[in-house]
Amino acid sequence: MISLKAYLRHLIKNKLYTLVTVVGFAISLTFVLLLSVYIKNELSVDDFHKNKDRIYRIESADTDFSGPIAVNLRDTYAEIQDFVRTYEYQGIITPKANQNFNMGYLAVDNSFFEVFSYPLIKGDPSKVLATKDQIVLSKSLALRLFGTEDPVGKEVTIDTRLKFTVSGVMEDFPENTHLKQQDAIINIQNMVDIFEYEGFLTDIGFCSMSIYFLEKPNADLRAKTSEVLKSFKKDFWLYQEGYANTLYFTPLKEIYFSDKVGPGTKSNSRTLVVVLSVIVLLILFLAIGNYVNLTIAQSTFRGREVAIKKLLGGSKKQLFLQFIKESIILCLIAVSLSLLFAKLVEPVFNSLLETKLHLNAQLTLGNLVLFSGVFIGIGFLSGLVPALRITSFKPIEVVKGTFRKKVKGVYGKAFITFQYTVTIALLACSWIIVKQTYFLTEKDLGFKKENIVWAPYLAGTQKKTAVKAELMKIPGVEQVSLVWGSPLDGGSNQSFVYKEKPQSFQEIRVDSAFFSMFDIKISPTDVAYSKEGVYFNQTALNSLGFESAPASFKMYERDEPIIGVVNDFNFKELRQNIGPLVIRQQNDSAYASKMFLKIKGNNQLATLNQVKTTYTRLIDNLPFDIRFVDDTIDQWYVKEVKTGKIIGYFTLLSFIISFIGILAMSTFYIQQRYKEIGIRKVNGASITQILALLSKDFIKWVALAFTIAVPISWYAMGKWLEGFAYRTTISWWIFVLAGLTALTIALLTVSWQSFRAAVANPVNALREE
Amino acid sequence: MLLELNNIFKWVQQGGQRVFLLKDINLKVAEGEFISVMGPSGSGKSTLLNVIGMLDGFNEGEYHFMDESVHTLREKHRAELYKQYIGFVFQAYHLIDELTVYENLEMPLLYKKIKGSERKAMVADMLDRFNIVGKKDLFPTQLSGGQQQLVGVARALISKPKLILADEPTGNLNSKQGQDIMELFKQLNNEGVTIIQVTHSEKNAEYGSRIIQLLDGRKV
Ligand SMILES: Nc1ncnc2c1ncn2[C@@H]1O[C@H](COP(=O)(O)OP(=O)(O)OP(=O)(O)O)[C@@H](O)[C@H]1O
Ligand SMILES: [Mg+2]
Repeated sequence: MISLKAYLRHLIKNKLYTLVTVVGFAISLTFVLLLSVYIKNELSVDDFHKNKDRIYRIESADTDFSGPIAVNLRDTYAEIQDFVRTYEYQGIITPKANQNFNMGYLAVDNSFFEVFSYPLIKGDPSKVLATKDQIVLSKSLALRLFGTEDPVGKEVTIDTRLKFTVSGVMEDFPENTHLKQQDAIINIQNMVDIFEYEGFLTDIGFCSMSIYFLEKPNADLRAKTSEVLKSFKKDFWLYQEGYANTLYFTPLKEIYFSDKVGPGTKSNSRTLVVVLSVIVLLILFLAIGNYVNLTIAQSTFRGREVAIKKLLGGSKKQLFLQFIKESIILCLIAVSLSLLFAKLVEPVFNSLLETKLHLNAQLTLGNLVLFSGVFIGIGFLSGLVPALRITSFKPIEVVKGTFRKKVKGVYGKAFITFQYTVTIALLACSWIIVKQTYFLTEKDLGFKKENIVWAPYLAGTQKKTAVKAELMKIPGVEQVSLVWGSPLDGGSNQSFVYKEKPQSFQEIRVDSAFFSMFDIKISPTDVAYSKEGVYFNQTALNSLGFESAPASFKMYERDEPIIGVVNDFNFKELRQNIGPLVIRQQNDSAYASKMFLKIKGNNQLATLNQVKTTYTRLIDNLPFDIRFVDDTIDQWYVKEVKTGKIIGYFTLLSFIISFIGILAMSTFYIQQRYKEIGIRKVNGASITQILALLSKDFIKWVALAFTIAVPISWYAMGKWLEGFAYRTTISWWIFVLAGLTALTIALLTVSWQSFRAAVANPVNALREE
Repeated sequence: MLLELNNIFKWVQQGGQRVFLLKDINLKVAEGEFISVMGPSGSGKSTLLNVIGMLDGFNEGEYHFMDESVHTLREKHRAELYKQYIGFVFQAYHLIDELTVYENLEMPLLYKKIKGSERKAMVADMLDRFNIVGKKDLFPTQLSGGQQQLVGVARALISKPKLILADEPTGNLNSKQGQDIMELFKQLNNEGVTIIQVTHSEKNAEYGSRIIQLLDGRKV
């Protein structure tokens, strides 16, 4: 007890040391904790399915699959017990007249709830989708539509025309599954009606859905992979023609980490999880290293205490245990703090990694035992080195006053260098990511994007002229354009073969207002204008090998006149280069998917409100969102912004860690030289001279760290930038700035300690021993 | 005989040469003696005291302490021996700053595994005897040098050692404070405690019953 009391007083007396040790350790542990929970969650995705070892998704790198494939495979292979096809779509759901809600849903085969184990709150898994007109609502949608009323048996309408009966309520899909949250589940047979497309389930060419197979117990479906691939190459046109070449049966547990993103699925990169695991270990290593170093640095003070205790009868074992105990206590304080911190930053973390950690749910007895076990272990380990060092002081040393000199050279200079390498590299990386993100959002895309808003076009083909006319009446609206495909979505793909070379074109269909609205320059060809005429972009001509535009071009059966060439503009994320594009003209009776409005620069809020009111009236109260084009384009780069932020946080953390590291180091180092400083001062050295003397060594280490960090981060960022068609330059000044920042912080930290030593009255230092 | 040194030599290697710190020391100390060690600075007084206290080893010779042959003992055993029988008093007090006067006194008893009630009585007894009851809750830094040394002596005494080794116990004190400590030693000696002290002051040396002079590591 007494030694504990003494320890607490020691902590209180050395507030700075305590604060830095405990808070520094706690911050690192917070990251470790959050990341561990995150990694654990990611690895447990889809663990809850009863049939998890028997479910596979059929995957190809090049395509999704069509409805008949599932039926054919089930009929051919005895290994297959059942299949589930899924298709994700959005629609409007109407529980009562004049109440319309947006919803996203998943259309599935009726065995969905039996194959997978998504829990139903109401309804029987084998019956809820038995007939075509049944719908299962998620708990949250049921609450939105019906409040506390029992939804089962209620009628709802989808897309204002199809009637359904609610047959069950399911728990919202949990976080740890590869399927995205859905508001409802319906029988996939309905898609035929929703799309008004007879072949939705029967056309072999409609390759837009995911297919899951349930394997019979003790069967081995994957063993049949090559056989299936062979038959596809024989009978399935996509494979016959060489569009698709690969085929896998991916086990359910691996779908989440698969490169293939199917309809309605989430995914994560295994690399990210591995990288984060490495980071966890790294942080833990650095944090423990710091803790050990700080404690050893402090031990120069405590050596005396230990030696006296030994002199007065304390055994080595007792003192050793005392230090271990202290370390565990300090560790527990840090752990408690880190739990608190973790709870505080959980929301930030969730939004950064697009996840929900549910830390509270992790508070199970088992986890707590594991957690405390691990941290008592860490406390023990991190106390071990200082304990061994300090308890090896001999009592004679206290009598002679020599122990202070004995703790020499223990501090790893390598460790400090390593910490600064990490810090400088991270800093450089995060700046390059920020620079690239800025570059992407600021890049001239080849079209104007300011003051243009867009909304989905929902009014139907017949009303196109009327909608345009109504919206043009609003004073703030300058132009209206209705299109099918736009620079925002890249349009639809047209693949064909020209002169034995496969060509992949994007196509958009626009009205005449489109060009002036987006300020896209057209160079007319010699061909006379006609309604059937098409425009190519420059890249399309190059791709086909034309010097200048031919009079017409035959993509499929029909020869189409080329009436103009447009300048290349970006119509996809800047990860990709500009590809070949064909722009077709759209007449007033053709299908349109999006509506663009050019609005005046002033009073935009009022204009938008008017647009909303008018448009809502025109589409009978259907819900919709209206967005600015430039906002939507910025949205493309949220991932980069997020990566930048994540790295930013790690940079901050590594700064904290290396700050603590060098603080411990300088404390220790300067204590060693306290007497020397005193003597130098007595002999006339100035404070500046002493500061320079003490800082010299640290500059050396940071410089070494710099030379290691530059090539590493240069290489890593080069690799990262290769993922973009448009790249910013990796400027040398970024590295210089990163190095200087690290150096400045290191110097400030060192001077903090050395200044105290330098201004101290030398008499005190000299009397000390 | 409490302890006996026979032909003790101690040296260190310096630049390939032996530098002798103690040369052929012969010394018999009977229980109840009060010995003062004197000699010029660097003559080996502290070294001798540390050898007697078993904090430091020697290279040649024999050392018997209460019928044990110290020169044949392992370090661990030696440590047990001094912990049990010897109390140390230093020039620089060496109290633990984080503990109160009371706790500093209690500490050696904790290591001897003495029961709580008994411990309390022993500490109270010491506080009483040294007239520092009023200071028991203060920390060492809140005491004067003389008071600190008083606590140091009390701490050395509390586990009832047979021998007290004091290296310039009054070195940091003014003459009045030094005199008080000497009076205290005298009184302890009268009660049967053996004392060996190192001192530079003739006056303090007079308190002892015998004076040993050292010169260049040799007894004169
Ligand atoms: N580890 C060592 N290595 C080399 N020489 C040492 C060592 N320890 C002590 N000495 C030397 O031994 C001699 C005796 O030292 P000691 O401390 O015993 O002197 P002292 O008589 O106590 O002196 P003072 O009165 O100044 O305290 C000194 O000359 C000292 O330099
Ligand atoms: Mg001495």
